[in-house]
Formats: sequence, C-alpha cells, structure tokens
Amino acid sequence: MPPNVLIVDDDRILCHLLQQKLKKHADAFTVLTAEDGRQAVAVLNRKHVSLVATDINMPKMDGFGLLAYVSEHYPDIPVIVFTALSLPEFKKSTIMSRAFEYMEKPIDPDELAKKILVGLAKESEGGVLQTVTLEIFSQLVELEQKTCTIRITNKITGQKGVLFFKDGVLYEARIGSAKGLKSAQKIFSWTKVSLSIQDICQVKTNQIGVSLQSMLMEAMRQRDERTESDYAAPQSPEQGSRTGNRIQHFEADESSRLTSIQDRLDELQDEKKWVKEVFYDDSWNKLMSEAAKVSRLFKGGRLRCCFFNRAEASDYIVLPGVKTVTISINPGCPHDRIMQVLSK
Amino acid sequence: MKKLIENLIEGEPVLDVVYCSFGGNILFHYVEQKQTPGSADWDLSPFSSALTEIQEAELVFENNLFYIIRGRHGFLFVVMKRSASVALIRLNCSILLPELERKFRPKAGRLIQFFRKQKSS
Repeated sequence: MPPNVLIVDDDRILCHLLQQKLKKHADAFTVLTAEDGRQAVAVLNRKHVSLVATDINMPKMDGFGLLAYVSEHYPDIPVIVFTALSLPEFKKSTIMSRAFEYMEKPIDPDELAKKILVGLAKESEGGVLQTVTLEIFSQLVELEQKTCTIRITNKITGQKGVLFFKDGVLYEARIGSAKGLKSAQKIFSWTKVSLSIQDICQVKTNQIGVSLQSMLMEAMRQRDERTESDYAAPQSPEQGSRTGNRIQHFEADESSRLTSIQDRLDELQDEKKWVKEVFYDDSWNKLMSEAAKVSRLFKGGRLRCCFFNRAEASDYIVLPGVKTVTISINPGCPHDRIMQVLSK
Repeated sequence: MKKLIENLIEGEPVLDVVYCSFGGNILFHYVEQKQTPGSADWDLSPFSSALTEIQEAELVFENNLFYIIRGRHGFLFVVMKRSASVALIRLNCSILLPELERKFRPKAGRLIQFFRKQKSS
C-alpha cells in the first residue's frame, strides 16, 4: 500500500487541484487532505501519514499549531511548509540546509511531487530527514510576524523553556526563573526539543534586544564548541572496550542521561542485583522506530520503555532516545519493577 | 475461543487483541469498546519483520502498554491500559495463543493433507 501524504490548506480548490494533479503518482503515494490544523490532527491520529505538507495561515488551528503538534507527537514525520510570503535568501538557505522543505505560493504540483518523493525516498532508505526544529519554527514565526508563546522541552535533559514573540520579534526567554538573552541562547542551543504554541504574548517590552538571526548564529557556535570539546575528551577504558554497534563516545547531555538512568536504578532495592550492564546500543533503533509507528494506530503516545526476551543469556530493557540505552538483565527476573522505575 | 478472549479481558483494561502472521497479515482482531479504528488498512509487516528474534516483548507507551508474544505462525499483540497487570495478561496469552494458532494455522499442502488423512484412517 503506498504511503499517505497529508496536504493541509484552507483553500479547498487548491487542495482539490493538488489531489487531482498528484494522482499520477498514485503508485508512489496517496494524497489525503485537510482544511485546517484541527482536521489534520484528526487525520494524523486516525491514519498512518508519512509526510505532511501544510499552509501556515489557516482558520481554527494554523500551520504553527500543526507544526508544534507534529513536532510533539510525530517527530519522525517530515513537513513541507507553504507560505505566501517570500523568505530572504539567507534564511532560505538556513532552512534548506536542514532539509526542511519550504515552498512559496503559488504551488507548482510537479515541484511539490518532487519534494514529496524525495522526502518519502529518504524515509524508505532509513535516512534521517530533519523535521521541525526550534530554529526553523522561530524563523517562520519571525517571517509571519506572529505573536505567540512557545513552550519548549529539551527531550534529552527534560529541562523546560519559554520563548515570547511579539509580531515576530523575540521579546523574552525564560528557563525556570532565569530570563533574558542568556536563557534564549541556551534554549536555541538545545538539539532535541518538543514544542507547544499559544497565540498570546504576555511580555510587553523587548528584553532581548538582539536579532533572531544573530541569536541562532550564537546558539550554533555554542553547539559546535560543545561538540568539539566532547570529541576532545579522552575516553575511559570502560567506554573504549565496547564493540560492535555499541556507541563508544557520547555527548555531554547524553552522558548525563546515562547517569540519571543509573541513579534511577539505584532507587531499586532487591531488583538491582538482576541488572547486568547499562550501555548504548543503536541496533534497537529500527524496532523503536517501527514501534512508534504502530503506536499511532492505537493512540499509544510516546514510547517510554521496552522489555525484550530473545531467548538469550540476557533479557533487555531498552529506553528510546537520541541514543538508545539498553539495560541487560538476568532472564526471568522481575523486570516489571525495573521498568516501572525507568518509565516514570 | 470466545471464552478465552473473555478470560483475557476479564477484570483487565485490555483494548485490543491482534493476532498477525510473521508477514504482518492480521488474522484476528478483537477490539474492546470500539476505541480503535478499523484495522483493514493497517500494515503491520514492517513492525513484524523488525521483531526478528524477539520471543516476547512489552512496550510501555505514554497512554498504553503492548504485550507481544511470538507463536509458531505469527505474533499475538495485546494492547492494554497502563494500569493492566502484565503478569495476568501473559498467563492468559499463553492459553489463548495455541488456540489462535490452531484456528489460523497456514493451510497444509495437498500431499500433507493426504498423508494426514491416511494416518488418521
């Protein structure tokens, strides 16, 4: 069965026209349509959608709301954004460099088909197609001169931040009680985030005073610096001894994740003795990704924790994330309690 | 079969029971309270093939929990609420699975059927 592509636009005629024009690619994908973000969310929850192409300005729930929803609930689905406004060249290149597709209206059906096919091909090849990132999201907010509050959760550390935009200008940023420019830079340096958006901005005066573009550049620099220092860090003998798919090197954020998992395992009493080893193992990634897709059929939400019995010398508890953490345990041990603590 | 399904869902918040072949074809689907949309267009083949070597699995999602067990001809999936007792579900599945396998076993070739007939007569 060909994958489903969801086109979202309040212009019914355009939707119908695109659906007709794209019928010649029926063997490659099926086109579903929705008139606004709410309808699109209903389709996403009901059907297995492989790609979303959406307009930004729509009634009820607009493209920003839909992007935030997709980023939160379906982060694996690539999104193509239509907008009537023209992006300045430098912004266009920033967006394109992240393989996030963007199309100016009027939409050329053949060009759209090409972008859809590229997106679907990357998915079937198992490649990573960048979906909605905070940088792209905020650039679109600036472009559309939107007034809104964006709540961001760092998926790696669980830290939360808020960005306040007034008419597309970043007015304020907050992480806990810390506010201002430094908080904004820190938020933009987060690599894996989930977003939610609200169409109000309580902040009345600009507390940041720096353009979004320079902020993004600074965040990128901070990220690069962090990555370089991570690569420069010497590896411990224990890390170096890992072989095969097990990851020998991990970044600072991921390292703290492993520590936090160890801390949680320490909460266990008797069950702790069943735990053999905690390590990164990306060989589970394909299964994690397929499980996330199946979850949509049952409205399961985000995958938190798994237990696998492969009839081997160990059973495994697997925690999905940027890097998949695997905990090998003795077969037949009461894994329920360990999973309960880990999936909190 | 009906009795076994009743045993499985009795007292436990089970939402769906799906039995599918290794190729991902859904052979049996029981839906509790019609919460899940129809399974006619579901494609479980990528998921089934990703379960290579897995004998038994439990997947904890934000809203619910999957219990999966491998049979001789396919997988039995049970979708339940987070509050369900997996131990009880596991026990009931070990009874239900052989019954499902008997009912939905792949058809044997004519030659095998002939020999079976010969053996029984």
